[in-house]
Amino acid sequence: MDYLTLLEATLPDLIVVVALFAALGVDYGLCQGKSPHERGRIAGEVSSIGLLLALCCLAFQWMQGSVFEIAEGQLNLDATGLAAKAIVYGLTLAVIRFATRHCPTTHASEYHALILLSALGMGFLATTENLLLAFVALELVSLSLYALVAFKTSSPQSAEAGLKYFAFGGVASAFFVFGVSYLYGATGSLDIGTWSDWSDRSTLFALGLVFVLVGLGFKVAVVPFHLWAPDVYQSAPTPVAAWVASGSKVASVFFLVKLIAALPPGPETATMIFAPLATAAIFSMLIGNLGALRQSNLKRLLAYASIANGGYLLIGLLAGSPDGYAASIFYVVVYALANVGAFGVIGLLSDRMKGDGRLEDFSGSWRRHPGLSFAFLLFLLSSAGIPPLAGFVGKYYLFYSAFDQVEMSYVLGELLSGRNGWLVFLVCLALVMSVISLYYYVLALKAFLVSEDESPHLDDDEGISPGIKLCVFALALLVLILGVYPGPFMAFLQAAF
Amino acid sequence: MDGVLGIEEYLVVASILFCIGLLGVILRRNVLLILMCLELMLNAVNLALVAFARYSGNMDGVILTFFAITVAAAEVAIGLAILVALYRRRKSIFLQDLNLLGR
Repeated sequence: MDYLTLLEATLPDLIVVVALFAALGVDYGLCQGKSPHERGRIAGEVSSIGLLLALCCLAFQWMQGSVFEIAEGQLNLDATGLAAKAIVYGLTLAVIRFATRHCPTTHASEYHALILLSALGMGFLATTENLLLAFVALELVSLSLYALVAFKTSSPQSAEAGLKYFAFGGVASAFFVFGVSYLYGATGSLDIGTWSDWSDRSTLFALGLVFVLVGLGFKVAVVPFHLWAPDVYQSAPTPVAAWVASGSKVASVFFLVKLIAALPPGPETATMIFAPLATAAIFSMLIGNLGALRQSNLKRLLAYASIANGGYLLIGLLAGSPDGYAASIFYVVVYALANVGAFGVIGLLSDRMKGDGRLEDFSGSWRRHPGLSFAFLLFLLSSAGIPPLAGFVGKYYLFYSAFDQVEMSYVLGELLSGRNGWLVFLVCLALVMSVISLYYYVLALKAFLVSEDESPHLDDDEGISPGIKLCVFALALLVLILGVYPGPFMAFLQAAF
Repeated sequence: MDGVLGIEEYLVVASILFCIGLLGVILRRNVLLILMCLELMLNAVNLALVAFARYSGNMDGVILTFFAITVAAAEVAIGLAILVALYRRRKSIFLQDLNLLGR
């Protein structure tokens, strides 16, 4: 490996690093006399330009068909890796746009710099196949997010949520690196690419794998590592909540899929992790969906919904086929798009109402913000799995990939025993839970669409810049397009595994 | 290896340290002590990593240890920063006084 290749491969990330320091430097060097709002806007513009350049650079690498493999899987930038990075940076761009409107403190440039820093970590996490780099990237994401969650220093809830996130996250990362040490001890290598030609499946390996999954399970917020999610989503600044719910999940799922796809083949490995993962999936779906039913705060409701979505995701991993892995990634991307959009709209509207996101605060938003409310409708219906939106297609792929793995048998006992039984049960439960989830999604939409007040229809979007609206509508359009025309993206993902 | 200790002893000590740290995080009410217990967990990992590296003759584990030490320091810095922000608002670092969430 020579340095020029390294430079070429990590050029998009380097651009983001430069943008990060430029945002800080411009703010501290040139903007000290300006108002916090103005400084936030400038830092946001600088970060957005950096991200756009990075995306262009990724597109260029993609069109050239560049494939970089740096230092034996430390960074694996094939077409999928580039796509993963592009997805992460695209989501960052949306989050930065939402964050630019309103900075929770006077430290405007640090706010944006931390978002970019976590985006860098996510980009590396999604593209690495090395446990060391995965650990460092995961920590980069976590540490930036802890600070971001606690960023609203004027609110004690924000700091408290930050502390809660930190305490759970600290334990999770300790488990992750403990698991890494066991995997390293069992295989003698930190490279997950070498697992497939390694046949000794010891207890050490199994234990290490479970610990690593604990660390990642925290990021994806699956039960029993979900306790932080409702408080963090509710109390963090809204763009940060969007970011925690989208970017860090996408990156972790990319790595999780890589990890599980790299497991040494054979029935022992499958049984080793199947039962714990399946149990986590079942309880995530139950606790997430049933918990969401009794929420009166929109952000908490979405937090419980995200726990439930973590459960659905695991079904694709449990199916253990390339289709299943692709379905999991497709689903998490679609979910992230819808969630960034939904939180973006919530942030835009609740800033204006000075509320803290209770459902009744949004009553009648349809009259005042028809465009944004319509986008919100699309995001929520997609998450609920209504055709023809992307969430429906994602769920269809997930459940189909699981059913595909069930060995058909006309004897009921055979059909419902062992792995078959788990898969059948998981899919049935997920279907039932999807129906239940419709109730709370519709409840949230009702708050938007129905209002007591019969004042004349007024369009009150002024003060919301066209750029942000464009961003919301672009996300809504993506959710729609991926629903109507999912074929190419899905085929691309399936080809990757 | 002509020492008396095998790798098992190191791993047992590491596991015990890790469990003590985990129990501390769960049971302690003082956030500072929770931070210290988190450190203990990470240091248990370092012990295991160095032991594995020593016995496998592969240096990757030692390198990971350096990263883990650095990350642990960064983590404490962030944790203390959050704690200071919280203390300014609530004048307490005990978990039982931190009860604003979930309402």
